[in-house]
Amino acid sequence: MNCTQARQHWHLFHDSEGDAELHLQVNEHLEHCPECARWFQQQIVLEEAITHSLVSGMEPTAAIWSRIEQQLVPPQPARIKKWLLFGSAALTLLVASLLIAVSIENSSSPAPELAALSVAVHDKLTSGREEPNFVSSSHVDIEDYLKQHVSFPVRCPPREDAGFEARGGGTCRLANDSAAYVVGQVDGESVSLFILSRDSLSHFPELQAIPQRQRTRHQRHGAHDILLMEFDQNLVLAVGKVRAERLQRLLDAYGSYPHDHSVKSVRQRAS
Amino acid sequence: MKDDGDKCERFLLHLRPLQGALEAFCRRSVYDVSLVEDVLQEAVTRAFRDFGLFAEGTNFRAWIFRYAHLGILESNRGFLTRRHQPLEVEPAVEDEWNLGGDDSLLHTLLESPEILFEHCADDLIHAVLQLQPVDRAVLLLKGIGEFKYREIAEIVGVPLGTVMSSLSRARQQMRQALTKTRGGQGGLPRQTGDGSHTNP
Ligand SMILES: [Zn+2]
Ligand SMILES: [Zn+2]
Repeated sequence: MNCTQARQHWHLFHDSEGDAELHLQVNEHLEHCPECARWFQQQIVLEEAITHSLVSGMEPTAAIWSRIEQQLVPPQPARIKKWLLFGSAALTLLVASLLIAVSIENSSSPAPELAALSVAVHDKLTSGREEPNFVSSSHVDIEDYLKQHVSFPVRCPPREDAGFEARGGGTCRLANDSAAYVVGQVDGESVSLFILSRDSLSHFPELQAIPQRQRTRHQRHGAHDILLMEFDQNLVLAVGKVRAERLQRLLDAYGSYPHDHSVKSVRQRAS
Repeated sequence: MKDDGDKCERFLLHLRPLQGALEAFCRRSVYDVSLVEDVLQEAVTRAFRDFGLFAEGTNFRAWIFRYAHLGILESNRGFLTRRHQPLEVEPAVEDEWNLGGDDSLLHTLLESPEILFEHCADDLIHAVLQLQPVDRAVLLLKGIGEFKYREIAEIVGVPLGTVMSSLSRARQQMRQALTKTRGGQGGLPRQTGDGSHTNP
């Protein structure tokens, strides 16, 4: 493959299209041709900058989508029926969870609905397709932001001592409920925390099937682990591609700090 | 009644994660910005009506973007008819990238893309609207929807080869728009409505 041929195939290469043989040949050429390697790199930078400028700042307009959804949603009785169904499902779950050893690994699942919705937001925030509303590494500032932007009480997010490096926070909708989120990293992996009002429980009938003694529940959604917990006046979800134990540590840290904001985060003191 | 409720819940479960991308696709495609909500509303309503035909486990993303694509075409055709504007035929673009010569642009971009794009974002948004409908759809489905060529071919209803040539042409024209100074060309459709994307 010569330079012209390699460059002609740039689109296919960039878009991960075409067959493996082509990618092999292009890669081989790039290894031996620094000029093309540089040229390919430049194309990628330019193409991504163009795409970014077309897409950036585009978030779904809540008002538009709520009007669109309202036209689709039938009146509520369907939910009640589903609830009844869940009555028996709850019993099955309860029996099942009594049989299974009490471990967060195999416990019953949170509502697939809530799991899927939170993973979708998590993906959007961590893929860079969307920035958090409020970018900050200070848990104190994030907490203040959240408290000003949601109507329900929000407790202290986890801090560095729980292995959590905050990147920002914001608000989003999960189904018809508003939620606060905090995004950050644990062991170099992106993790999101979603905080809802505990009242939201009643909007996800599935969740009401949680046996009361079992506060934390675990589910996998694709490559993500999701832990869910009721805490004080909140429903808290931790989402990420990290071990469930690490997520559990975040949930344990949530709201556990004494409310003394005179001590800033470790990072802030260090800098 | 129960079936209706289930259908609705299942539909929304699929739809909600895609709302941002669907809206962005429409915003960047529809000539008359004031019609974005109508186009979305119509596309979603039609898709919901046909949702019984959608096979669970198949590609909902591609499926619903096709409705959005058709809605955009329809809306833009109406716009052009009202304005008595024919669809412009773009001049053929040579296959070679002609960016190699503009090293200063590339240098600026490599240094700090965001600085350049603060000044060029409007030009790029305008340039997208000047693309041929199929070229624009292919470019945006790739950029916003992150679809594979095969999926784009299905959504737009064109052969795979057309997707590739359209994408190549559209990318080339976006680059040309970057190197051009503003205001050189008039007469092509620009977004109207709330005016947020209308050049002075
Ligand atoms: Zn070469
Ligand atoms: Zn605090």
